[in-house]
Formats: sequence, structure tokens, C-alpha cells
Amino acid sequence: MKTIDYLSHTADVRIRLRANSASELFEVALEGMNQIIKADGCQQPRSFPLIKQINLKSENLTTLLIEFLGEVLTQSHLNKALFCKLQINHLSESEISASIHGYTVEEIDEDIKAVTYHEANVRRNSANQYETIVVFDI
Amino acid sequence: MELKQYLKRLDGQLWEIPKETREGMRVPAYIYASEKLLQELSSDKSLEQLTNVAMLPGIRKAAIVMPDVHEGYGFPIGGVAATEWPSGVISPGGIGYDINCGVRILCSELERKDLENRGESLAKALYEQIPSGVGKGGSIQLTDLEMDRVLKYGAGWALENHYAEPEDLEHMESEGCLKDADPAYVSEQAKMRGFDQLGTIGSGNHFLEVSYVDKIFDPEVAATFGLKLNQVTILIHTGSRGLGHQVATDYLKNMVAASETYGIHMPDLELACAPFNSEDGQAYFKAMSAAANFAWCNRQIITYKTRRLWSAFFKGKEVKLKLLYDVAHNIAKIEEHVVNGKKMKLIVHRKGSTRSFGPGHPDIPECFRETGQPVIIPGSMGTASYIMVGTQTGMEKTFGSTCHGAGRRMSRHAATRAVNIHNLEKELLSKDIHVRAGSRKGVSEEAPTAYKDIEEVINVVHDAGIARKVARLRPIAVIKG
Repeated sequence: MKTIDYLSHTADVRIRLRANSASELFEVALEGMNQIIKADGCQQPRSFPLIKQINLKSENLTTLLIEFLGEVLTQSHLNKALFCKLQINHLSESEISASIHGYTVEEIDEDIKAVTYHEANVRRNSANQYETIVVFDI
Repeated sequence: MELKQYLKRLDGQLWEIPKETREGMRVPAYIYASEKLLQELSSDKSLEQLTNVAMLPGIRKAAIVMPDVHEGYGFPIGGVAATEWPSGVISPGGIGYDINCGVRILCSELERKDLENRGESLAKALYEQIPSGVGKGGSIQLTDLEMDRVLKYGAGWALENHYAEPEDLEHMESEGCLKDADPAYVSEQAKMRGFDQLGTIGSGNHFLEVSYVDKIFDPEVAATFGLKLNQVTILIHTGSRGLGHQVATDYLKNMVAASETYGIHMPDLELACAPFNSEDGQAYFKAMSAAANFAWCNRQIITYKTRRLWSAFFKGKEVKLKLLYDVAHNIAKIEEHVVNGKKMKLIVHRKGSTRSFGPGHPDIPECFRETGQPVIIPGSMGTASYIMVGTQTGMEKTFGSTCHGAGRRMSRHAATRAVNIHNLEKELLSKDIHVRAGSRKGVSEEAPTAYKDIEEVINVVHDAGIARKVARLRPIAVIKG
């Protein structure tokens, strides 16, 4: 089961993500970020006419996740859009190829400045789930 | 590791965590704080983050935090770290995502009585004129060529295009332009994010505030700064907007990948860095300088819009708005300081800290050469802000740096839960403070209770001698995103 926990941070937003697989971790991370940008923006069933391809290589799964979220955030800012759906074509420890599907939004709740590497560390927890912290600069 | 137990008081306001406390620390960590402010640090990770900063290759003297310190990501907010030039590192995390977030103060010829019963209509007019809030664009849309000129010349572009007076540039840190800026090092994505953002405030803790001088502490320096009791002033607090956020994101990614090449292993990826004189270090410095220039130009365009509105709103009165000074508080600069009795060039990172150069420094405008530079410390919405002056003690103790604000003590979520917005609005109105904001949530998040006591913070830096009180401001109208 994938979960998002909102933890305390004095100035920014800190979340803890848990998922049963690496691909599910990317999905829940995207969901967590979208909830900050626009709380109910992805809750209603709707069509997603905006599609962007993301192909990234990185050092490891932790940096890959942060850089993936950073790229989605950039696309959200550039297109004034919310990308709710993730379709992963290929995912390894250091590489992702995926498409993100979204729609343009008039207003958002929170302007995330960046997805930070701070405290990010994708690991297997005692329940053998994928787990990491992500801190967003607000 | 509970770091508070290792704190040693060096003198009245200065505390130390010795460098032997954690493996990897190259210098001690210094904390400027009162006992009360130290208590508030117990619930966050500021001290751990500060001791991580003390591990940066090439760091000299100490990793320092100001009394407005709170946890950030990588560096704590309120942090200062100087690394040896040119072989020490530069770390994008030591500047942050909002490159050259800063604040300026405009001084009017009007007095508080001139605004009697007009605070609300002034707030409304400013809110309509100056774009603020999440994702709001402005009226200037830059072509590719013009964008590169903004990035290269900063506030100079504003002067060239009649958005500034020549004396405005003289009253900005670095005259509103870092000469090392190179637009070629700024990504297309960053430029695209910034193309319509000049002249916009943004969201979060950014604001425009009309205030008045309610107390003068140092009449002589206040006179040099042109500050008088009851004088109406305007504070503008914003930075490089999406362009700066993207520059930091792009280069942090590069640094994370490059750290291994340079054999640098930091305890936090957000502190990824490269030697200043390396290809990666230079590329970031040129891009960061360009983003800093964008921020100076942004604050100047907001100034231009404010001046136009001011002239129309106060028709028939003396409407001049003079820029007293503009300071950056998220930046890295090459400066000369004395370390262990030896003058040396350093790469000074300020992350939520204000430059506060003292009397006689060649980098400050001639009109402030005898007093020291003006230092602007905004408080939280509804509380006081301060104008201070840089000191020689600051030059010696903190690389000419001081605090940058009140400093958060409560998370945004906690503030939203703790604040009754209706009561807050009533309370502000009872003090004749008029707030215009994009959302009530934004107002709750920035409520005074979410911040430390500004008086406590200011007294620490004043008593430590790293900046000195000149005047206090009280808000009249606040525009927020």
C-alpha cells in the first residue's frame, strides 16, 4: 500500500513516502507533490490532454526520484499545468522513461520553488517497502 | 545526536559548537542567539544543518547562523559560510533556490498623517497595480535578446529602459549588477519561466509594505539615511522568481553528479558543491550571478510601478520615492575579509543573511562610507521592521553579515491551524494595518505568531555589535501573494 505522511518543517513541506515498488514510489511522490500544488486538482475524474515525455538518467534511485519530481515541477510551471497521471515505460535504479499526463490550471494553492535532495534517501524499510523523505522548498 | 548539549557560550550572544563535536567538521559552528531564541531551536534541525555546513571543503573560521535561524534544506536559513577563494567550494544550497531574494526600502516625502483614512484604498490600489501571488505574470514580456540583457546588466537594463533613475543604481548592493553574470549559462527552461515575471512579487513570504518610521534610535545615522520620525516608507521583498528557482535546480543536479568527480562527500546531497575554480563551480557562479541580476531588475520594475501609482494616488503632494538601499540575502559573492589576522579573498555564501558592511568599506556607496551601509530587516506582517547600519564588528566577526528577518518559528501548516483568520484580520485592522492578499491561507501562514519576536532577534545582533539599530518601522498597508 502506498502512503504519504506530512511531517513538520519550520518553513517548507516535508513528506514521507512509502510504496510497495519503485514505480509505485514514483506515483505516490507525484501524488504528494500535486496535493501541495493544488489539493483537489487530481481528485476529480477528467481528461488529460497535455502529455510530456520524461527521460532521465541519474546516479541512483534517490537522485532519480528527486530529479524526476523536479522535471515534472518545471513542466508544471512552464505549462501552468497539473500532471496527474504517470505512465512509466521503463524504470531502473538510475533511469526512467515515462510520460506525464495533465491539464492546464488557472489557479494553484502553493508555489513550490523546488524539490530538494535534503533528507532524500530511498531505502527498503522493515516492512520491505520503498521509503523516503522529500522536502519541498515553498 | 542532540547537538544542544555541546553548545558553549563564547560571550553574551555568541555560542559555539566545537569542531570536534562531529566527525568531518572542519571549523566550529557559531550561533548568534539569546537563550530564549536557542530554546526555540530545539524542535527543528537547524543545528544539525549548521554542523553539516561546517564540513564544506575550504570553509574558513566558522559556519555561522544569525538569530533568525530556522531549519532549511542543506543550509539552515540565517546561515553564513565563507570558503577560501579560488579553491574552496561554491554550493548552490548555500544560496538557495530563490537566488538574490532581497529587500529594498523607498523613502517618501509624506508623513503618516498624509495617509490618514487612506490605508485601505492605498492597499487596494497597490494590489491592483503590482502583480502578486502564485504564478502571476507581469506586463513586461521579454524577448530572448532582452532577457539576455536583463541577465547581463540587472538593474542597468531597467535604467536603459527608463524604469530607473541613475541614483537608484548607486543605492543597491553591487549597484544592482554582478559583473560575472553570463546569460549563456542560464538554461532555456529558466529563461522561459522568467520571461513574463519581471515586476512581480510572487507568493510565500514576499510582500510590498507601506510603513512609517515610529522610532529613531540613532539620529545621526538616520539623518544620513534620510529617515525622519513619522516618515512613510515602502519595503519591497522578492527575488528572482521562477527563473532563479530553475537555475538553482539545474545546477544542483549538475553538482550532485559532479561531486564524485571532485571527491567531495557531504552528509547531505543538498550541500553538493564543486571547487569555485572548477568548470562546474564557474558555470554555476556565472548562472547564479545572472539570476541575481534578474532579481535586482525585478525589484526595480516593482519600484517603477510603485512610483507611478504613488504619483497618481497622492496627486498634488510631494510624491518622490527615493531608494535608500537594496540588499540581497540569498547570494554568494567574492569578498575580502581578515581571517586569523590575514586579509584574504573568500567566497561568502549568505542564505537568509544580509550583507552589513561597516564604515569605510570601498564596496558601499560614498554617501554611506562614514556610517556603514544601510541594513533592512523586515519583520513579520503586522509587526515592526528595522533599519540598521553595518559595523566594523560585523566585518571582524561575521564576514560583514547580519540577520535578514524575524525568522519562522512555526510551520505553515501549524500556523494555518493556530491562526483564526477572522480574529487576525480584526486584530490587524484594529492596529490600522490593511492587508491585501491572494488568499486567506497565505495570510494565516504569514501571521505574526508564525515568526520569532523581531525585537528579540534585533536586540541580539545589536548587542553583539554586528549591526546597529537606526530606526523602527510600523506597517500601514501590506500586499501579499
